[in-house]
Amino acid sequence: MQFNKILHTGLFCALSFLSLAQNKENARLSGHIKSAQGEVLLGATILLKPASAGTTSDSDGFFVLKDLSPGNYELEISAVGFQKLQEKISLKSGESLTTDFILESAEKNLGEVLVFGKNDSQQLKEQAFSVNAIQTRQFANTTADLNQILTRSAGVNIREQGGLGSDFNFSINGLSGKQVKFFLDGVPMENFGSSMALNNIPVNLAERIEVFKGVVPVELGADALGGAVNIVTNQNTKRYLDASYSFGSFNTHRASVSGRITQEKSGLVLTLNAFYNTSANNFLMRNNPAYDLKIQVVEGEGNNLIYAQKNVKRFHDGFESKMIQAETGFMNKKWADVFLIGLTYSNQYKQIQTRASQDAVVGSADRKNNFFMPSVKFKKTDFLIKGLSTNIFASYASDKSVIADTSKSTFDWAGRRISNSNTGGELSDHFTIYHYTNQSFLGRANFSYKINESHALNLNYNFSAVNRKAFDDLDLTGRRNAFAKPNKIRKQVAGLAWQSEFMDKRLTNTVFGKFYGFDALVREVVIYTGGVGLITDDTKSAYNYFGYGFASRFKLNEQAGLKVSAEHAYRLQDAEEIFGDGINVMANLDLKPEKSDNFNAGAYFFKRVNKHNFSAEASWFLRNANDFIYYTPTQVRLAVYDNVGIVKINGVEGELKYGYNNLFSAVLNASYQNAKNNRKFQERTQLPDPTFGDKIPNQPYFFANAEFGAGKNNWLGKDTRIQLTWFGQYIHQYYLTWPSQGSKSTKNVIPSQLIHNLSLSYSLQNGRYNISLESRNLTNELAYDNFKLQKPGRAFYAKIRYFIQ
Amino acid sequence: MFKTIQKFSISAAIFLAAVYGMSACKSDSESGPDVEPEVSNYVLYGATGTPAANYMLRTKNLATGTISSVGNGIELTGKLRDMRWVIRKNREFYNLDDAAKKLSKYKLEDNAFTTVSEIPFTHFTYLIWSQWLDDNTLLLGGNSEDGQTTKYVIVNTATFTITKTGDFALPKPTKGKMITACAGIIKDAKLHLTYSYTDDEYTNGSYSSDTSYLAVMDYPSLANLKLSKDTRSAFPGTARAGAESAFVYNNDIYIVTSPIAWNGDNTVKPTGIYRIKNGETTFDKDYFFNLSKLSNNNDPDGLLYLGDGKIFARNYRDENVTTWADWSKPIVEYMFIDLAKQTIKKMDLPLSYGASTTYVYENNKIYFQVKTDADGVYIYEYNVAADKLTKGLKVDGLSTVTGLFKLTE
Repeated sequence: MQFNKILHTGLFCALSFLSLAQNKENARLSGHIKSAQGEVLLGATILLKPASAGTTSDSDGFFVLKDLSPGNYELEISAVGFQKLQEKISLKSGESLTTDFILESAEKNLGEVLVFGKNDSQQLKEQAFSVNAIQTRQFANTTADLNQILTRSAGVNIREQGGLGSDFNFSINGLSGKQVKFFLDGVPMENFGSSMALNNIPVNLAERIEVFKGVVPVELGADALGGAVNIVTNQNTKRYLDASYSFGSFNTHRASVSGRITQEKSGLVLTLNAFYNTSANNFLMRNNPAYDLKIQVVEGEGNNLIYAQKNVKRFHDGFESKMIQAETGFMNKKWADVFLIGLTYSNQYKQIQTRASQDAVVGSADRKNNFFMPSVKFKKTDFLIKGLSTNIFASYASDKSVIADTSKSTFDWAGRRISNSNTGGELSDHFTIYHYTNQSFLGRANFSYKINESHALNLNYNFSAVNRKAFDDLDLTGRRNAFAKPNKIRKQVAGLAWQSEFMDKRLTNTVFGKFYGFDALVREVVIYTGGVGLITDDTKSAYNYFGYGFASRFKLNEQAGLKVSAEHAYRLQDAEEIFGDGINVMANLDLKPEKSDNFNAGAYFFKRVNKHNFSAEASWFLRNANDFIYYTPTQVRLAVYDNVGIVKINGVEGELKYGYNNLFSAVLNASYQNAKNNRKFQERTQLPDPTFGDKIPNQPYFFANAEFGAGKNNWLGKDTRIQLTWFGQYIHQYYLTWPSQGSKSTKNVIPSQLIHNLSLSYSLQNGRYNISLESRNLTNELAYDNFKLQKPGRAFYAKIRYFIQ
Repeated sequence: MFKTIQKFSISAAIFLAAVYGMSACKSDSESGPDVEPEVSNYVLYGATGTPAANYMLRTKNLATGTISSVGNGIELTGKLRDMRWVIRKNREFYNLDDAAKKLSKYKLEDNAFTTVSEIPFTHFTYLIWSQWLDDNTLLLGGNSEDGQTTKYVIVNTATFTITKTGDFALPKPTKGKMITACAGIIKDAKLHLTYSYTDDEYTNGSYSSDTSYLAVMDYPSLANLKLSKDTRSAFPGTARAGAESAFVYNNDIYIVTSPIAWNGDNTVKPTGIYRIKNGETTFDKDYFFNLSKLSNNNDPDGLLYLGDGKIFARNYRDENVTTWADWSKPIVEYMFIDLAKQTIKKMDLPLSYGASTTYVYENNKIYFQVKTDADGVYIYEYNVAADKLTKGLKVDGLSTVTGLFKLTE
């Protein structure tokens, strides 16, 4: 509360000296349409009588009506599933009025909130693209980061290596890792530093998360072979504050603040987002010899060291991350709907506990990251010409990392130093304090042009330029450092989409094309030549590729529809893949990008009967992917990245939701993906590949999530809500290697896991004050997302949160 | 309304059942049948698929029949390094896991590959050379992690404990260089240790220096150290404890050099065999068997000493190699080498894809892998006495055989 006061007072003081002249011309009306639950409503119809001016709200729930003569009007706003809103409005000459409008549910009993209103998530589902749209509001009282929310949605599987801040592999419909790209409000996060990652961004910083599967709209300009995740922050609420703090097991503390104030008159706006996370991640590592997952502790002295098997706590897995982002500028001005300049700073510290498997213990090495980014945003509807909307973003970023690997000691799982005379580090053969600097420029320009009521064009262009440089404090010769001289990498992604609507908007179509360009200058690349062997040389490379696709939706009626979408997608080779790292990996200048033909077909259904809400969605997906890039050992001393994998994925996924009034809700989803090795011949031979048709190993292929919630309003007092939620996740076991090969009894298995989570929250004053208790992995299941990398056991967290808007 | 719910839940149940049913069926049918392994004395170790998985298969006969890794064989993925760094004594396998810093002793049972014992091991990163001092005493040689020292460790393999460790007092590498042991052999209470200095820079095609180094010292005292060098070849030894580097013939020691691309990586110096005459402490100035000269300037590797001055080896026909990928083409031939006559005899076979550097030799017959586009993977038999080649066991499933050996019981 005190904090809120200070924040508001401070912000107002900072802004108060600024003011702007008013226009003395026609008036203008803009604002956001929201549900009573605060969800923005897309596609609401706004009519101004008697001027006959009208429009519909966009995906942010935003609308604007311009060039209005001063006078008195009657405003009428309507949306499916909501009561029509009628309001008298008076506009003065030159006035630019901004107001948010709240639509009440069509339900009679307004006190009972509808869990599954046709909010923008539902609206997004009715898009032609195959998309999961997740409103984070329902998770706002939990201690979750974005990964923990996304992992619950159909078709998404996230494999974490450990606790808070641990490395993870994000998979959408079977394509994963670099094949999935992340965006923040449409801007690619590739060069945003390691703190801005889904494994530690708290839920309260996002308003909505969109997961596009296989087919990605041109607005998200990146080489996203398998799909894209777009984190949408709260852009429209003029004034709010969301502050929270949580603490719990493994010495975990998390705090986040997100807020905005707007000066009505001048349109001056100030937004602040910040978080702080820390955890010791000292969860218990449990000895599990049945799966050859032993936790070994060294006993004895001198040359007589032996292993004993024990359960021990992790001792070097601490994590700390902080981020602060401030934006200021103007909104809803004549010359710009949004003009903001921003500054982001983030910092991360991470201890390293293991190498690729828990057999290899690390006890001293760590990494640090410092990230700094000034940015500018500009948004304008009817820019230069009527119907043209412009959205421009530009940033410069400096991303500095240090990996320190200087310990002479070898550690066991008890943290004991079993040797203090190592002549190389824990992660590599040499002691290093490796400084890595990325300087990047990112530009994004998005133009959408409404040709008429039924046709629109969208042009998106992203440009990024990265200079990377490194030095090693302990290698003064620079001989073990591939980045001693700066390398330059430039990437361009352009996309053009034509969106059209037919049959009274029942059929929507988007057809698009994409261009990918890559060029690089990399110094002292290691190349293999026949006569002389390995040599180093400066190398330039440039590549261009074209992708294309479409997405269509046909509404059977207001409740149900069919969708189909396809894309010929690319994932460009990254610099290390083409040029190697100069130490262990040599260049492969013939490397091609990964490519895939992706196809989705699905149907959705949405129905509300009295107090019952249902929704259902199911889809079938196909990924025909080629030229997967794998780290490949070679006959010569260094390894290389090579186009090796050919994979065909066939899968189905579905989700059912049910809600009764505001008392009970249930979500059930399941995904099955049959990823098969589609490589007919062994690499570089004409011999059949013995694993052709085999299920791709070391990858989950069946997983399901269920969530049941029960809550009651006004039970423990007026304007309170108590909510109990159980969430369970099941991942079926899978083999580490090719299923067809070897006798079953000797095969390595990543065992099935069923994880239960429970949370209880209590809100007062209509959600202003919130307190919650949560248990993750309630039954203390021994779980592994990766072979020989154990995840945390049972954990408890408590969270307090203040929210006002 | 109730009807709607009912319909809904029925379709939901059908959907979920279908999803689960699909997954259940697939996993069963794709895992393949369990085939009871045969109790057999020949072992094939190999890899299949990309990413590669490793299996050990056993068979009664290398000369005929078919063997497959489909639903058969012991999975060993992640357990052993490349066989060339693994020390085997019949059913016992000794492997150094550099990442986990542990030395493991495994046993090949009839249907399983079990861990007998593991000990922490921080002395070096690869098993470079080894020698059994007696039935239960194993001398291991290797290099320190940073490549500044070469070291030894003595292991009691019965109790699986380390009994002694130490460094060899060899000249330290100059700045920017590393030292690596290449081979070690004890004969007549003298340890003969060959080594090389290598470079991190890839500028001139000579990772290892142009010089071969030899240290001879009393064993076990390590006293009376004699150092010498020779420039006729580079990288004197395979630097892999599981691959042959040194052997004794007519009471003299022979050292096989390895300047090939994946080892010493010296494109200038030829591959050959040095001799250390009985009782001497330097390479014999009057003897150098230049194998490259007899094989079109290739670098024969994977040598196995068969006894009586006879060697079997493979040879990469590298004259058309211009990129790293060319090494994976079918360019491998096999050769029979006569040490006394200094001749080589190439096997009259189509060129093979590369793989196994271990061969089974018994009853004057050599068994080795040949992999061609026409035939796939076969074990061939070379009858030395009759000078006759026969196509033997067909290998299915494994795309490459990297180890081939015979158990004695």
